[in-house]
Amino acid sequence: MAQRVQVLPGKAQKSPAVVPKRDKNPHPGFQSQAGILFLQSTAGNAAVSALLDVQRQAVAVKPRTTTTGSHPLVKRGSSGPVVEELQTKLNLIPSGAPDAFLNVSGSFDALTETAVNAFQTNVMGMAVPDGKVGKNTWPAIDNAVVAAENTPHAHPVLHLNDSSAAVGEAQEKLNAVGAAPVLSVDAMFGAPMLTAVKNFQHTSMAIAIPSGVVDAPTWTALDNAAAGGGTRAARGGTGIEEHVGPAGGGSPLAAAMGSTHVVVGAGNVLKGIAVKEMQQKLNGFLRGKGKAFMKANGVAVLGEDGTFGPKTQKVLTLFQTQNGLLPPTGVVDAATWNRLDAFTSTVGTESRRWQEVVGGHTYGLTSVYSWALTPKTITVTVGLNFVPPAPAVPMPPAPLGTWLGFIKQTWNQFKAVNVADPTKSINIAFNPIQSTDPSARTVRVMPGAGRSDAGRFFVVDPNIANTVSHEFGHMIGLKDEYQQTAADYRASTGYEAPVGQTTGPTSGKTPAQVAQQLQTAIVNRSAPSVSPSPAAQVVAGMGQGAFAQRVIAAYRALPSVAVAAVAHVAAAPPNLGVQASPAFATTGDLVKDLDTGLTNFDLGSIPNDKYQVIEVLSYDSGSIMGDPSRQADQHEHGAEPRHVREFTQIVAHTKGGAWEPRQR
Amino acid sequence: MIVSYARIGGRVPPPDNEGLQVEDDGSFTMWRSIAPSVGRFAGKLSADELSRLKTEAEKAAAQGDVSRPPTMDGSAERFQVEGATATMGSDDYIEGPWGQLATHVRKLLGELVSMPQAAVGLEVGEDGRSARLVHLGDKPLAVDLSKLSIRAVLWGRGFRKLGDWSTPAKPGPVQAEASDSWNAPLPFDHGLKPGKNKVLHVYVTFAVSENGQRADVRVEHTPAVPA
Repeated sequence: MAQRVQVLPGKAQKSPAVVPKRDKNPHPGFQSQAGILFLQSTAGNAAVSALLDVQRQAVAVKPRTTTTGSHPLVKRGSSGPVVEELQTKLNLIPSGAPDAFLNVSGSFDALTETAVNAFQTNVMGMAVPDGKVGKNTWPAIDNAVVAAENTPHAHPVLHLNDSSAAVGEAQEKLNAVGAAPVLSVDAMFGAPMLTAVKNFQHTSMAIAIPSGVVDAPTWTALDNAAAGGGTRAARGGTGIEEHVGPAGGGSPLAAAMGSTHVVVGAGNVLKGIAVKEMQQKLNGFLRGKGKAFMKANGVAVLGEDGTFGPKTQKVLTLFQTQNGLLPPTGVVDAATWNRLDAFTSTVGTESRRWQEVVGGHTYGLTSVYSWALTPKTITVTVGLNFVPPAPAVPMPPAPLGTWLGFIKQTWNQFKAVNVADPTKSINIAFNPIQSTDPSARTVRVMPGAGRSDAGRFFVVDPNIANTVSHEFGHMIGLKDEYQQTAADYRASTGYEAPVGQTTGPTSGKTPAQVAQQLQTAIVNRSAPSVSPSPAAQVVAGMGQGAFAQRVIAAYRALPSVAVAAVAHVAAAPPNLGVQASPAFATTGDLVKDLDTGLTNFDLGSIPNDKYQVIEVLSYDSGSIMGDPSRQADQHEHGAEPRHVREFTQIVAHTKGGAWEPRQR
Repeated sequence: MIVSYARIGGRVPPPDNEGLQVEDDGSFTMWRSIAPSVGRFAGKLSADELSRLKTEAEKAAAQGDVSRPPTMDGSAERFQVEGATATMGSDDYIEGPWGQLATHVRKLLGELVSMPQAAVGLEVGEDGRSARLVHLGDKPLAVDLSKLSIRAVLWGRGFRKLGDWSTPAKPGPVQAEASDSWNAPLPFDHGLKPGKNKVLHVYVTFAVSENGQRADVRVEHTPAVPA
């Protein structure tokens, strides 16, 4: 057996320079309509599309189509906004390093250096690239960006029964302009797409007798109506897909089950922000009724102290009586809150119990937060109750402040902007605090190294910054954006489901064959000792996207079959045991049936592959609520404006008018 | 069978994919996917260990089934003894007999990697400047390095992350049958500088195959970090 060698502490050495991620600042000039129109007129729609795409990224960058002429020299080890600009530009141009789509991190790392070397070699013709970006390389990169942006996508003419990635791109655009029913982005030009094309040509292009052929004029109309789509490969760049869909669209908030308010009154909450919110709204009611009403009923405007006393109770009872909430209970339940919400407040609480489906499996959580609105800021406070790993164990040393800092770093980068007057804005500030309040989210602090999740944070976890920020998203009511159905992905992100992989498994099977084999794999779960695992073998070589959607459609068309129960089978080493599992009938929902039918505890050979099988049959966003580590579309890297839209709606409810979320 | 254990899932890839089964005679077989060494492990528990485990399993069986929902984004654990099963979130605290059994099994999961059958481990040089994958055990294991990725993280006092380096790399051969003296030196130009009160952690992700079935795995070198 080989001997394991431990790392031994050596001489004290200077630690490497690590530059913390900076706050992400937008570039107002790029958000002006005039600026966009100017660019559109000078560089074309492709440039505008690319520009808007960059703006959608969590990491905003300097204007990248403008040569400043004063870029500093950057090289391996450099960091900061200028490196972000470099990385963004390198992603837009052919560099000769197709695998080097760079994360716009602002850190000049090895991959960035590789991309620079490739650019210097392949584009600049340098015999000996130096990997440094200075007075010669910067202008060359800027020129290459302009050239790339002025190279339009080459669109092939599409006919019925065609099948290609371009068909998928057209399907995305047709969906974005309102195709009904929504097309499956399966890259197959079938009858549903033909209908959608004809409808688009008829209604948007005013063609009396539409051809149903996606010809050059139709592509132009689609491009104008729904920018984005396709891959950068069309402009010589990498194969990373561009989004189709409205920037800032999507609804990542989990749908609440029941009221989002806590119940206030006798036997329930009697003190705190929820009571203060109620008092403010009751005062709104009283002020609306006027002084005479108050005098006639022996009540006065309430002190907004957050304490549920007799005066508050009396006004509440009066409110319930006036609103037909009979008999008046003196308790603010869902029905009473519903009426009270007609009035405004500057503080509030939300307690949202919700469910989501991830990978065909249903999860639930309750999110609780309070908010307070001042003229400049809406502050959202979330309590985290850090506890030891077990009741009898002391709390291990832990960087609690650092963890809360990760949350602020990820989430405190947005503001609510008044749509009518964009000069008016209110910062959205998240304030995670340690709290032992029962409403606080309990998190166990785990010593040593491990993989953190919603309920436990390990003190040594290389991914802790991402995980903590992801879990905080759940605490403010956001659902996951990974292992999603096409419909859920579209609803959550606002982007059309990407075309993704159009090719099938390595076995060369058709979608119908794959679907049938997966159903067989589900049915044959009674023989999990068969090795290799049938389901994993069927999808080997498949990836998320069009082909997988064809498989899902083919599976839906299969007749339902009964899946027998599985009895426990004792282990026969080296094979492990088989777990008991109940019978069920297939539903036509492939992901759900895989989740139900492929046991998590099939340890006959290498354990469970359900996770990987479902992964290729679903979609992931690359945002903080998705899965940046798995997601091939790398445009999103963190929190997105869509994630904080609820708080702009709170601002709108209180201050009036329409407000939208934007990067600060 | 005394106890059968599985831990599956999790948000961060590769997913947890761990299994352990202990038989009446103390023989065990274990699969590890995220661990200091990964692959197949097998051997026999000591008489004392086996005795304690049997007692705990009997007490857990007497308590009956227990089912707790897994934590969001976390992996799930399942413990099975003769006549009863407990499912819960990974590392969940649970009182009573199931708690004692769970604590014991989780401890075994870490200890039994010392008995590899067909496994791959990670060796990191004393100076933190070199690393390689090595075969462990007396049976071969198919290794696929086509999607190999390497990450090195330098931790400092107070669990501060001082540096974070990662790169995908493609050392050759991409696919191999690991056996006997097989090893694969890793590209390791991380530029991080371990030293006093600085600890280097290394994570290497790749794939292995057993009986033709592929599984993503991650070997980890994670010595203690000073508080």
